[in-house]
Formats: sequence, structure tokens, C-alpha cells
Amino acid sequence: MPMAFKSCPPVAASLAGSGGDATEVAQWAQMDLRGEAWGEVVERCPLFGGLTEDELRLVTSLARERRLRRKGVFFREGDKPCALHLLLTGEVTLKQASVDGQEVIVRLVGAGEAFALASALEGATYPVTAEALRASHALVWDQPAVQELLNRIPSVSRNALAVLLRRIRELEQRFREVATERVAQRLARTLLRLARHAGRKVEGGVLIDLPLSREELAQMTGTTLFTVSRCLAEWERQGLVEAGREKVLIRSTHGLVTVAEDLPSRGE
Amino acid sequence: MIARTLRPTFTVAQVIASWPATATAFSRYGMACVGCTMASFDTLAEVAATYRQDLEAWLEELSFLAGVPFRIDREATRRDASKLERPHRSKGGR
Repeated sequence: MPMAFKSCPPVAASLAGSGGDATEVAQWAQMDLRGEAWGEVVERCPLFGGLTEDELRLVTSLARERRLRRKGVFFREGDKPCALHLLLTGEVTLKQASVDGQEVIVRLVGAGEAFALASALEGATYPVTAEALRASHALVWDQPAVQELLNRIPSVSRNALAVLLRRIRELEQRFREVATERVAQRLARTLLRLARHAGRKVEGGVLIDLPLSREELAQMTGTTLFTVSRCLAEWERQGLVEAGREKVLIRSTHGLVTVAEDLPSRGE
Repeated sequence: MIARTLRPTFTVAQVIASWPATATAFSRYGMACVGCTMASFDTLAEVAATYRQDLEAWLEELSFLAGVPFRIDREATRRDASKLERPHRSKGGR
């Protein structure tokens, strides 16, 4: 049962360096209206779970906000100092590039999720580039704010540990998939993961409504654009999916799970 | 969710969460639904079709396990189904 967290103040004025021009004023007006909803997102984020109302107020008061358009960049690989981010709305990809420029999507961040937590704790450079997949809006805690949160709210450190451990487990699982599974199986898993993350039940199946290109699907699966297209075409023939431009409709969730889990296709 | 009868449009996840006793009726029919990642999307009707089971007989068994009366409410089922949005399909030209 989430506690009432109504009296959330507007996010603090660390809109530093961008004095009160007209656009900032407009943003402030929006912030007052939305302060309450943010409180809910902050409260529901596992990183801030179990905090008292006063602590939650401190958390929001130390944050600044950032809004980006689609394709906007929150930070780039190698940048520093690192800030902690909590995505309020939108979708963000965390990408890493290899030396020869090939990109891999390490993670897809959805609304309500924190990102760059490890970098913010470590104080090192960002290991990934965070790019908005669609218009995105985030709360940001800079280094001093992160330190203050850790010092003043013990549960934040504990929660951070739990969040990071979960991330490690997810990465271990993905590593196992990459090491042992066929590409088709991995791609099926990627699609199912995306469906869980952003899927919507519609007539005729489950729609993954994310502006992801096939190139990006390949980057998430650890394969090539060519292989993704070939798999999707094959699955379209089998009636498992319908793949449009930056849109995938899973027509047979059962069929796709069968591929992902390598189940015997009984009942098909 | 408090429903008085099971409807074919309920998702597997809803049904198992509301009436855990129904879980056995999935495994007994060889359905891999319990714990499936897509359980929150697939409806009882879709599961029955996928596994080629008679929907009404299966619903009757599920209702028995759930301890709710078995009744086919076609009107409610149609209402549920019509709430689904039609996906905009852009299938042209590539």
C-alpha cells in the first residue's frame, strides 16, 4: 500500500546556468502541476522504496529535471561527472560502442526506472550513452546530491545494493543467452522482453509499440540487421509476428515463447 | 479483480492470481502457462485455441477449481473483446 505523498514540493531550482528565460518559466508552471505525479514515480522506484515522507521530500528536493526530444542524449559514454537519473516518462536506450564503432544496446530503460546508478555511485565516467528513444523526461541527481542522499538516507544505500544485484543477475542471464543460445531464440527473448516492457494487448495479438528499428533490435540481441530481418520474415511466414516499420505485432505469443524457451511445439 | 464467473477474455495471469487453485488445470492439460512470461497477455480463449482444447469444458473445470459458478456470459465476453484496440497495420511496400 503506497503511502500518501501528496505534499511533494516542486523539484528544486537546480536549473543552474539557465537563468529565468521564458522557456524556464513555462517549465516551472508545468512542474507545479505535476509535482504530485512525480512523487508517485519516485516513491514507486525500488531505489527509494521504504522511505519516509520526509526522506522522499528530500529526494525530490535535491533533483533537477531534464526533458529531451526523441534522439536527444542524456549523456555520452566517457562523460563525467556522473549523475543519477530517474526516468519519469519516455524510453531511453543505453548504448555502448565497440572500438570499431559497432553499437550494442545494453539496456532499455522505461518510465519509473533509474539509470546510471552504478556510475553515480562509483563517480567514474559513464560506460554507456543514454539516448531518448522517444520524448523523455527525467529527474537528475548530480554528484553532490547523490552523496547527500547516501549520507542522509541509509535505506537508499541498501536499496541501491539490491537494485544493482538485480542488474547483475539480469546481465548474467543475458550473458548465458548470448553464450549458449541460437540467434533466433535470443531474438524471440528480446521481443518477449520488449512485450513485457511495453507491450499492449490489441486485437489479434500483442503490440510492441516502441520506435525501435531493426538495427536497434539487432543491437539488443547481439546480432546483425540481416539476421534480424531474416528471422522476422521467417516468423511472419509462420504467422508468429507481423513486423512493420519500427513496430512489431506478436500474433502468436505461444509460438514465440516456444521459440524463446526452446519448448517442444505441442499444441501448435 | 473480483468476478463472479470466469470469462474467456480473462488473461491467464489474472485468473491464476485471483484463483491460485486453477493452476493445476493448466499443467494437467500440458499447458505451459503457469509462470509463462506472456501470461499477462494471453486470454483463456486464446490458450484453449492454442492447445486445441474445448473452451467450454475447460472453463467448467477452471470454474470448479476456482469455486465460482460456471456460466457462459456471451454478452460480457463480446463486450470485453470489443474493448481491444485495432492495431494500425502498416504493411505496405518494404
